[in-house]
Amino acid sequence: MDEIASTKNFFKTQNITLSDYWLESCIQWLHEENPNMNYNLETLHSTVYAQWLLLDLRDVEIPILPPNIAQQKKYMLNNTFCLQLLHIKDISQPKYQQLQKIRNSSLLINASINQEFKPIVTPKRMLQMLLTDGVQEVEAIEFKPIQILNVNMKPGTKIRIKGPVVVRRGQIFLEANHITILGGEIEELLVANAYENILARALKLPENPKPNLVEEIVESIME
Amino acid sequence: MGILRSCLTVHISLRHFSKVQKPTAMRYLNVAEKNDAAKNIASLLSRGHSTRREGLSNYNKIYEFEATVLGQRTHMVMTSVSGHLMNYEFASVYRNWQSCNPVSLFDAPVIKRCTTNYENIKKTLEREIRSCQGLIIWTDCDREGENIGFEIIKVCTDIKPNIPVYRAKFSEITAASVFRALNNLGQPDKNVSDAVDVRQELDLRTGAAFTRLQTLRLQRVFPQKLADKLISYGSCQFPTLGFVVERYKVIEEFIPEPFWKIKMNHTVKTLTVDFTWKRDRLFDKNACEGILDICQENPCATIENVDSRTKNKWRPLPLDTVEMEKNASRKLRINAKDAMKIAEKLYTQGYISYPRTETNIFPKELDLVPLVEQQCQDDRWGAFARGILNSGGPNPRQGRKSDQAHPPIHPTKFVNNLTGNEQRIYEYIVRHFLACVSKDAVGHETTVNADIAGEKFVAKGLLILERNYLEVYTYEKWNVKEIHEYRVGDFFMPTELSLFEGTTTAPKLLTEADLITLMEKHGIGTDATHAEHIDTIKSREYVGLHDNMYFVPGVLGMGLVEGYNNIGLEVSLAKPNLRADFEKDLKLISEGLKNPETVRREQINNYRAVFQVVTEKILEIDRSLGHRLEDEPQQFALAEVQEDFK
Ligand SMILES: [Mg+2]
Repeated sequence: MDEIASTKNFFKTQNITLSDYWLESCIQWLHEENPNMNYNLETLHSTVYAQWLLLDLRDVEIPILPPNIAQQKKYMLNNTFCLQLLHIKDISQPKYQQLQKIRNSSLLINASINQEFKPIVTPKRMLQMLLTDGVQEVEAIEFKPIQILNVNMKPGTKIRIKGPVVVRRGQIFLEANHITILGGEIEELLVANAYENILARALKLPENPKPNLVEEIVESIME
Repeated sequence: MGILRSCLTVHISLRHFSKVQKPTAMRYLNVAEKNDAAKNIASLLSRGHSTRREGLSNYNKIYEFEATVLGQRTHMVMTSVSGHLMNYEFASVYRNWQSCNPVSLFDAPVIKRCTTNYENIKKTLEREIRSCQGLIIWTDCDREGENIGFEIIKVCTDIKPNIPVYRAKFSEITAASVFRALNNLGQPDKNVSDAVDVRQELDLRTGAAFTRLQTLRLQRVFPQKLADKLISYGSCQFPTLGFVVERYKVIEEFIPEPFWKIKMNHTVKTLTVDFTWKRDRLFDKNACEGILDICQENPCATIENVDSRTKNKWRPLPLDTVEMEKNASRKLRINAKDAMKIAEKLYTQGYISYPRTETNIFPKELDLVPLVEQQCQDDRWGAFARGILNSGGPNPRQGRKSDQAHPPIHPTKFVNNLTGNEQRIYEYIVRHFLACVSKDAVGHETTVNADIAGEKFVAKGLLILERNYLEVYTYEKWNVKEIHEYRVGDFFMPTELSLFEGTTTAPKLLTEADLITLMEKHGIGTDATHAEHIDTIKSREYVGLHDNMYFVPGVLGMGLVEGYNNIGLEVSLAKPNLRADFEKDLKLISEGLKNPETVRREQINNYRAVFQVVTEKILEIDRSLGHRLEDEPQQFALAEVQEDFK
């Protein structure tokens, strides 16, 4: 079997829809870069796959999601497909408070003094991801706790979603069995879409060129 | 300021015992901290038979009576000072502001001496001690009192170097207590007094150095706005001001955000039970609406769990100073400084125990029964007091703190002729005392968990079974919350199942009680001094009160704190670390665990180092203050900064 057909087939088994043009140029580029290397099919597949993890799907524009799903009140996605993470945020807590914690604000030290308000419940984390197939953006929420997700996931991470899963008001309602993290990243987004900067931008506060990693509190994730 | 070497008193006592067979009656000079205390102690020890004559100071009378001291009939001469008799001062050449660079104030010689307006008190002591063979110190039993004791000792031993000195230790001015003190005379505690000396000296040096630095600099930089303004600094005041500014900034910088939640309730007849969504709220409308859609598609609620349990509301802990100040401020709207002043007066009159205490555990030796009995005659809480005695007697809830010196604040005598705020503070102390020795309130709490299409909701109900301490402690409320009778497996259709939209809000400004909480948490001042520091920043107009209750910084206070914080949080005078570190050292001195000279040296070095950093970066303060004063700072080149004090 020729390299292109075989690799294409390999990606199909991974539920990844690929641009033929990108695949061909990728393989061609690999050969040009390493003219003496003799790829067997298996190493070729994994080498191309590693390249794909670093690809910005928006550069190849293969539509995977059905059009206009954000406009539907309720919609079922039944197949299995792969998307790319643009950014992530926790929608169970105020953004401002999260940012102050990340930035270790001295204003937070005594902020709890005299707050008579005592909540009856302590809410669990609920992450919301902005995902894209390269053409259309869609939000997905952690409807039930999903331990493999965390706020430090790199922008550009590739994610496989396995249907059937419901989309309500433009949000994919994810549970643990729906999702697999494939890995990867997009270098250009690492700073701009880091957790800290996503919060800062939403609050119209200055962004941090060297964003901090976020310490997550484990209890807020567990059910 | 070594006044007495500790071995000296022991040596003197021995000599005193070798003279006991001397035939003429011994005369003892007794000195209390204030005239009222002297008067009341004399009256108790003489059982009302003391005679009074004038001293050289109009306010400090002399009381005379007979008493038994160390097994011997003696003639007692009792007088008083008016708080501290002496003060630290710089040697005169350093007193003029233009005379030196303020940095030299960290090393300039200081002397402790009698302030001019207390000369007459000093002269009375000098005159009276000449005719006495012993000295008994009756100042308040706390750090300041111990130090005042050593000031009195200094004056007296300057006249009679070998006179025996004793310390009376007491926590209330009642007959039992003062006789116990007289029968168990001890020695004054030099360590405690040393700690006060170190604090006073440091306060003088840092206060003067930074006050001069700030004032001279800022008057020059903002001639329009600050030309005549004294911009004072104090090492407790500034962190206290820092807390007020910090909260103001929290509010100023706060960014409100909208949130959404699912509102669910259930009305049967006239009662509506509100359920809380277990996710509480979400900061995304679509996500919340999507979940609400799920609920509305299958809106029937099922009761998954009903939990019923006894729930107690705890009676208060025995009362310490900080708690009294906070409650006076919060519940009686009497500020901490006034509350302390009133409490001190009530103490001097023998109505309550010593109000400066960190203890919230009643000592075993203290018989609480008679203290409760005294209150039985009152119309308002007498019945409650009788109830305590008839149902097992007083049973105090115990805290964990003890200063090993004074019991919790409690009434020592029943009075019903007080008026105004004195009456209100006394009433509060009595009610608090009766509450803490009675029983917790008992309730029954029901927690109901419901499920709608997988989403979880919870509601709570509360039934009060026994009010107990709440009957007398009218300052606290416990609200009944009614709930329907639900059983597991019951289902119902929510009366309301809808989207609720809200907005996050900034925290509130600090109240005085909050400020005291913060000072205590960060170790600024002691329980005895919190109220004074708060009062100082008010009188300096660094802060003002909003709605007569909430602290707001003034522009000057705001600009100064921001300036110091911009210089660097680690060294900022507006942050609590420096002072808290100092207070820790002072405690170690009092406990005899650290040498006062070492602490003095180290702390002077700490503050001098900060002073140097502040001087180098003083443009930060110009800038912050300029911003807050809305005034353009007069420009001085950095090189000129050093020229300011030459
Ligand atoms: Mg005192």
